[in-house]
Formats: sequence, structure tokens, C-alpha cells
Amino acid sequence: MAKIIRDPVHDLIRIDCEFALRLINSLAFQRLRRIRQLGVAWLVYPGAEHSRFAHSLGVYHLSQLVVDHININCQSNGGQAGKPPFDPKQKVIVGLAALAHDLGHSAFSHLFERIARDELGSTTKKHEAWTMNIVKEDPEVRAILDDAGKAIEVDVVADIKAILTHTYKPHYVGDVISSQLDVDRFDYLLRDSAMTGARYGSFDLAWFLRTLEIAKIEKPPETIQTLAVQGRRGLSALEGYLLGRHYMFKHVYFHKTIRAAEAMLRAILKRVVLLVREGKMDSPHSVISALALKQLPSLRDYLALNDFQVLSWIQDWSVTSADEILKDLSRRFQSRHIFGTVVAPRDRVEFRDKFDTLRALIGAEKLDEAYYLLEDKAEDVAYKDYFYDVNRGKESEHQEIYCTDGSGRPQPLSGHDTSVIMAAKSVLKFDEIRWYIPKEVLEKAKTSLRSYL
Amino acid sequence: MNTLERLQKLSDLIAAVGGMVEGRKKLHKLVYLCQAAGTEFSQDFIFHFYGVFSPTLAADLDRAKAWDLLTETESKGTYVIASTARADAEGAEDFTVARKLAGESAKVLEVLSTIVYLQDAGYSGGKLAGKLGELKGHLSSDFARAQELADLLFEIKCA
Repeated sequence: MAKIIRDPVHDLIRIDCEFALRLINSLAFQRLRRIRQLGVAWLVYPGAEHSRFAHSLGVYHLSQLVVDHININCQSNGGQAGKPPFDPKQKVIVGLAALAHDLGHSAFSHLFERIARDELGSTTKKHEAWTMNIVKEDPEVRAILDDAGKAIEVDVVADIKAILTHTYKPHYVGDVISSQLDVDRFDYLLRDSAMTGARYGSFDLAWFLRTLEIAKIEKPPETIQTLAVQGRRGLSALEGYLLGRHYMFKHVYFHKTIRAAEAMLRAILKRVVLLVREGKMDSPHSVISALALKQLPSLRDYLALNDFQVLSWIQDWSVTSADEILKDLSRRFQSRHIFGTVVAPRDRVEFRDKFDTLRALIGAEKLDEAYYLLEDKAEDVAYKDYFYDVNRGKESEHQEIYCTDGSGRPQPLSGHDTSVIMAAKSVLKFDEIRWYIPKEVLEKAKTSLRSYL
Repeated sequence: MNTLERLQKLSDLIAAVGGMVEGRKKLHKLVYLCQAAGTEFSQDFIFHFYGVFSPTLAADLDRAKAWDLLTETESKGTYVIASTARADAEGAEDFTVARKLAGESAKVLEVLSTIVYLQDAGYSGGKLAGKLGELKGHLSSDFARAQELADLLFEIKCA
């Protein structure tokens, strides 16, 4: 029997697949209720409290819609008789991959990835690797996926692994979950837009779904089948989607106060790891203990961590910590005294001069620059490949977006001379670097920095 | 690693492998393989048609060019990225793997980086070999050399 779930973005989400329901009810998936999709964005947008749980349900819902629409769109465009692009087994696998895609996120999503990378270097794991660990090794999840595999006579775990590592063939199946036109992006844009109240991300999903199809792209010596948009009918919807991504990036994902708060949170946890390592405080959690020993935490310990635990710790530290830096940073975070922002100059010499000035200011206040002078850059935003790269050189490394013409021939959007996106490309590039420092230091130093402001 | 250090490290890498690298795709593979071998590069990589690449590295290359740490010029139909750093750049001992791989073709590096990526994704032995064939069968003439390097530098066996 189908389960119907109400959702503020998609109204009703229908789940018919027995294995999808079992996966949703698993402990590993239920845990996503305790991890916020947008980290600390609620400090700026109070409505941004939505969880990765809700987002993952939305991604599942859209994955099924996209599969159905593409099958219909391709057949109505004269596709091969009797052979829709997605078969029923692939629809199930795509749905399960959609549910699984964010299982590997830890507290504050990408925050822990950054801290682990700082502590462990190249031996660290990204959340995708943790996701694969959970898919393969969590007993409950593995049992569900193995049962699904027996039911549809497919190695579901291997197929989900291939989809999540971008190695599934045909490409368009994996593209549904991860590409420039994936359902992950569709859902988070719509959801983040709705829950923050920043409406930029609201694009015309219904029309967009009508115009998705499969195109054959020559990537010599291969021919690759990938998701594409019907250019004649879908170009405006595609442009709306890309502009929505740009504005959401500018006003939400790279919002200066949100990013400054994230940087402070990283500084807090970085301090904790150091204090634990030096034996100056007890570890609050086995994950911190592992990082203090420069080791990867176990899967079980990793899954045991969520946003609410970290916030609770910070509340305690703001009052009880014996370490002045930890207490100060925690108190600032608790009371929303978020660091101020300084935008780095683009010129190399000015960049170095301004950085040296900031270092001197921090030093004059006897603050440790490792915790009070924090750097951030646009490409570090959690939503990777945040914007379709419109400024392409001859050897572009990025994923292209394809639009088909009236004859079904695919053309890259970057070569589309009537596209609004291409006309605005110099404006749409975003590559800012920022520094975050305590506001009171910034205020005191306004005279020194006046020439740079 | 802050921006200045990160960009300088890229320039030092290119200086350490003879001062130039042919093409951005090859540079992406070199940085990825150095990172996999333990050299600290902070860029994140994802997997696309031409193998591993990093949006962060792409942005860093543009910045490094703007800051005159690198130059990029067209030569015989391809783009050559050259370093403006000293050949004996400080920290050059980090780049042993890069020096060993610098003379390999872009296609061998594409296969090798795919092998390393697949191993990192949990494939091994025969399954890794099978997946490699599925993804990069059009580069099969480069498999033997890439597999030799995978064994030598990363202790990955593809059978």
C-alpha cells in the first residue's frame, strides 16, 4: 500500500516502493531529521530549519517524476517504439539512490568534512564516501537493498554505488541524481527558496519536466547519452533555473553572515579537537576523540553525531569552558555576534597588503589569527559546481548543459547565441574571497582599512 | 591552507615538473594523483566524462593566472600552463609522484586517475578492472601502462 507524505514544496509525496519505504524507516535515514539542510542559515533566515530528511524525500519524489516524464517525452518525440529510456528496474534503483544520496552527511552537513580534511588531510573521507560506507556496511540498510536486489534481480548496491560515483552507464540514469540537471538541485533550490523566503530559487519545475529528454553527445571516441532540455520549448525554463541558482547562491548559500557563522563554527570545533589532543579538555564525542588522534571515526560513531548535539555543546562551552578562545567563540555564536566581513581585493599585491593589515589588527588585539581571521571563498560553498560555468575556454573542464534543436540535435548552452545566460555571462561569474574577523576589531580599524572599503 | 599558499603550491607543482603542463585536463589529473599519493592539496574532485576534475582547482587556475603565478598560452592546438615560480621551489620534495607522472600522456593519466578513483570508491581486483573497461574502454591501449603505474605508485592491482 502506498504511503502519502505531505510536503511544503511538492504538496504530496507518494511512495509506492516497499524498499523505499523500508529505507526511509531505517535508523540511518531517520537520522537525517536531525541534520539541517542549510547548516546555520537559520541565523539569517529563521525559516531555514528544514532537514536533510525532508530534502531527501523531495529528491526521491522528483527522481520518480523525472523518470516518468522523460519516458513520456522521449516516446512522444518518436523514440524507439516500445523502449522507453528508463526501464522499471532503473526507476527503482534511481529512487533508492535518491534516498541514499545524502545518508553520509554528518552534523552541520559539510562542516565536519572540512574539519576532518583539516585534521586528516588527504586520508579523510568525503560525505559521498561515508554514504557508500553506509550503503555497503550498515546492516539495516544493506539488508533492505539486498532484498530489493533479489526482488528485481539486479545488484542494487553495485548500481547505487555506480550512480553515486558517476560511473553508471548509460550516463543519463546517473544524471538524474547528479548532473547539472539533477533532482538534487531541483529540490534544494525549490525547498531552500521556500523555507528561507528568498524566492529566487522558484523556477518553473512543471514546464521544465515537460522539456527534459535524452540526447546523444559525441565525446570522441564515445557517444554519451545524457539528460538534455528541448531548446525550442525549454530554453526559458532552463534560463530561469540557472538564474535561480545564481541568485540563491548570492543571497543564501554565500550570504556573508551565514558563511561567517559557519567559519566560526569550524573554528570552535577546530579548537575543541586541539584541546582534546593536548589533554586540556575531555572529548564530548567519539568522533572528536578520533579526530584528535588524527584517525577516521568509525561508521557507528560518525552516524551518532547530529546538529543538536553540537549546538548543545556550544551552549555549555559558552558558560563553562576553561579555555578563553573556546568560551569566547562559543559565546559569540550563542549570542549571534557573528564576525564581520572583509572582501579580498582581486589584485595580488592589494590582496597581500590587505591580509597583512588584518593580521596586524588581530595581533594588536592579542587575538589568535587561527581562530579570529578566517578565510572563505565562493567555490567552498557546499553545493559544489554551484553555478554552470558560462565563461568557457577552449578546454572547459566543466559539465555542459545541452539543448536540443527542432531536429533533436544537441547543442551546448555555452554555444547558444540567443540565450540570456550567455549574454550575461560576465555578470554571472562569482569568485569572491572573503575574510571574517570580529566586528569590534573591524570597527576600531575602519580608519586603517578605509582605503580598502 | 589559505589562498596565497594554495595558489603558490600549484605554481610550485608545475615548476617542479619542468615548468609547464600541457592542458588543464592533464593538470587536474596530476593534482588529483598527487593528492591521492599524500601530497596536501585542498581541492575537491568529482568524476566527469574525461575523468576526475575539480571546480575548485579550475577557479584556482584562473586566480593564479590573474596573479601572474601561472601563464596559459596556446601552442599547437593545445593550451600550455607554465609556472612563473623557481624550479627549485621550496617544498619541492612533495612532488615526487608528480615528477614521475609528468612525462606520461594525458590519456595514461586519465586511465590512472580513473583507477585510483574507482579504488577510492570501493572497487577492487576484477570488479575494478571490469568497471575500468566499461568507463574507459576507448583508452584500452593505455591500460597496461596505467595499471603498471597504479601498482608501482599506489599499490593498486587491477586483476
